[in-house]
Amino acid sequence: MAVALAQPFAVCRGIEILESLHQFAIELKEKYTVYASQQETRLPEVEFIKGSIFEVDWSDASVIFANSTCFGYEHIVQISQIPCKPGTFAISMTRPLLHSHWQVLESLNKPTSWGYAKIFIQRKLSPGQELE
Amino acid sequence: MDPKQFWRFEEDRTNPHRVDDPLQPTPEELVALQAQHQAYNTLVSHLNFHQAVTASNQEREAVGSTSDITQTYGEIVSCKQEFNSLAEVLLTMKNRYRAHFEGGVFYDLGSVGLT
Repeated sequence: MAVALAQPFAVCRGIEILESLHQFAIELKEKYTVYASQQETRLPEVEFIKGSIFEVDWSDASVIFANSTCFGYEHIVQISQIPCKPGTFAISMTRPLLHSHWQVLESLNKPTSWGYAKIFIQRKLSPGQELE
Repeated sequence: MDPKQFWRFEEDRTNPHRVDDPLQPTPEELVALQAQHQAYNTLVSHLNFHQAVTASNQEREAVGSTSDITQTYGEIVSCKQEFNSLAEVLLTMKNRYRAHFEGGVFYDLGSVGLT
């Protein structure tokens, strides 16, 4: 929802496997929908999907965000290899996605609720650029 | 892949922008960002951050994955404090790397599996 307020995407989707957090998101969406209907400028649609990021199809993404500070190695590998369009941007925290599939464009130190985190801006490589 | 390479990445060496050279929003962008942040604060004002964490922990305990910390930082995101950080990252993508957001689709990949 934060991104929906910040940039003019067509739609912003959140994928969450935990029911409790998903319900929080649904509540928030109701407030956002009312707020968006009152704005002169069209705001993005916001959708929340209950499910696993490894099962939900997000291959149509223009930008993905992974709050990946405590993601394990296996999760980073899995996410890195999920098919999506070349040129898709990715934002990850603390660790980048695999360089075999994603090019790191820049890293930034930004404040978070728990201190400063390194944030990586990355772009999906095209099939001919991917490394074995 | 060798797990020892987990942390390895190669930044684009032709890119002059490094971690000590963050993009500074323009005055106009700062004004817009402040308004967006205010709207965000209003929308989330009713949320109890700690309640969300507690509910999340309880759900993971129920399926026996308390020891799995992989979700911890993915959820403990007090977006009130991180709104500006995320917004500035998006501005950097747009202004430096020609990311095009209009008509696009953004995905927040949330918690990973309950294993």
